[in-house]
Amino acid sequence: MLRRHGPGRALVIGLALAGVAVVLIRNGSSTYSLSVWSLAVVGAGLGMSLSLLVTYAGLPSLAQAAFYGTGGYAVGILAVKQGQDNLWLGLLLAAAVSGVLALVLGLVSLRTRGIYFQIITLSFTAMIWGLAVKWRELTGGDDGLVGILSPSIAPFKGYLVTPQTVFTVSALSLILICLVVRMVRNSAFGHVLVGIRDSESRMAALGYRTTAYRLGAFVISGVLAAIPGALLTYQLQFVSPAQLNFVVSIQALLMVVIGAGTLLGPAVAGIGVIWLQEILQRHTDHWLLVLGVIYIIVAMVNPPMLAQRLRQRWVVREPAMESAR
Amino acid sequence: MRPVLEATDISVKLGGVQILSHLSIQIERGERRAIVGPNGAGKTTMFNVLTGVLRPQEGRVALLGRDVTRWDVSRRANCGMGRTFQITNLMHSMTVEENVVLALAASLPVRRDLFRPLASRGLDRPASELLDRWGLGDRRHAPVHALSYGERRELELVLAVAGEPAVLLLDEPAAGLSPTETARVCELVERLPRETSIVLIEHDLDMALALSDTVTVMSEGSIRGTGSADDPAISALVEDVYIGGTAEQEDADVAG
Repeated sequence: MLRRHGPGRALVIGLALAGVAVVLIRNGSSTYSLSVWSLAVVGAGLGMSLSLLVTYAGLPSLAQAAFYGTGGYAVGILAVKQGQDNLWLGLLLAAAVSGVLALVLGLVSLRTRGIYFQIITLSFTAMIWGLAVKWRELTGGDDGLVGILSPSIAPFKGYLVTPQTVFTVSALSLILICLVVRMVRNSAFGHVLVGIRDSESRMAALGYRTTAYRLGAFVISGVLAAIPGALLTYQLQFVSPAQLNFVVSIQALLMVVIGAGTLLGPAVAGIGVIWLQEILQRHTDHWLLVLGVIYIIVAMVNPPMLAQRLRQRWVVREPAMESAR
Repeated sequence: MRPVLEATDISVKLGGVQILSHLSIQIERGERRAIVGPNGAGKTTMFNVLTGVLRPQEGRVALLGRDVTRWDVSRRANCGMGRTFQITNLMHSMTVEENVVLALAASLPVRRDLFRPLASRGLDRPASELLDRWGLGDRRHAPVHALSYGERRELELVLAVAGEPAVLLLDEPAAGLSPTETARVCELVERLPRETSIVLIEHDLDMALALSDTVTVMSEGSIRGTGSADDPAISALVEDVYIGGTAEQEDADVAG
């Protein structure tokens, strides 16, 4: 794992491919499919934000919807109550509010492990959802906040309004999130996280403040979730408690599970999940049922195991692991 | 000279049962101390109190003269305490070298380079050297899960000494090993730097006596006696706590 990750050939190729994909989709899609693509890349961003926590820190949090939704409400309230319409300011606020929330929840929940951790993070999501429903003056209650105007993307020209711009900005945010997750994975911080995931007591005995590292990962993950959350609100020009629903947390976890094993797996799975949902919704009223069956089959196939088996079969093993020289 | 590690008047009660009562122990610099006693004597509990896993209801623990009673495990580790675990406890998804790099990185300042690649910290060479020195050099790139049980115990020891601790606590380093593997672990422990103090819990009495200068005999949550490993009174006491019998006389002779 101690590879030298300079600019790296894989990174350059990956970025080039992502750039080509963005241009192709942006210029070659109908308005409708571009809007689905925008939802898909935002969903993928949510999945990636959680993958940092699950894959590297071993924390299967169910609070991701809380940070995602809080990001959405932050820009919604900023736009509707304050009339502030700058995209970057909105994203900054969303990230800050979710970051603080993640810090508070992390301090409480990271004392626990396993199922208790999941119960606490789930309860927290339900709490934030309840707050959004009850605090009518601020959040609009059940109806949510409507009439969120498209923000300006100053210093660039124009507004986040055409499907092309919405998609481009959303896709760039996904690329950015992937880069952050990659950086964390390759960093000393990421290695320590994996070490703590493997053996917390050993890492503590070596002198690592394990809770501080976990908390750091929790906050980064919360901040990352706020970005797609805010962009979803801008896309829909609307935010409601549905964005905070625990089902969103489960969906994010699903993306991570389906895409486990590789860095970008959760992003690809996220795009797939949103598209699948969209296509099924158009063709059948029983789309939830079909989706459920597909998820069960996917879980039984166990994608990480499958990916590993394929890799062992098709990819020549690198000599002597991949150590740095 | 002040002791490297000192526990004074430690009492621990777990679930209403008195596990340790008013126990005191002092480890001098460079001393090699074995702690022996039958199951239930409180050895592991004392170990947990010394390492910071468990906070005693009474008493204090001092490390290099500092009161660390309320310090957690990682803070004690940063202050010079190393340990191994009874059940091997390694980063199983990584290679041997990556385990050692993490152990070495633990003693670096935290903020520096935290988000830069671990490889850029230049720890792979010291890690290789450390592994060569401890005879695991050829297993450097092996994933931990591919190691034999004996090799894992050796790696445990390498991780524990990577930070050059002032005191090293070994929790049954030979548990579950074959005679050959035990001999190998013994050899490694004997090769540890002489200035490192060692506290050893070991069921294998021969090994415990061979590796230590002094022996502390425990039973029923208190210390029955401490003395030189070749002191006949200590041998008699060991025999007494393991086999039973009347040894009050020996008790009196070696107490203190």
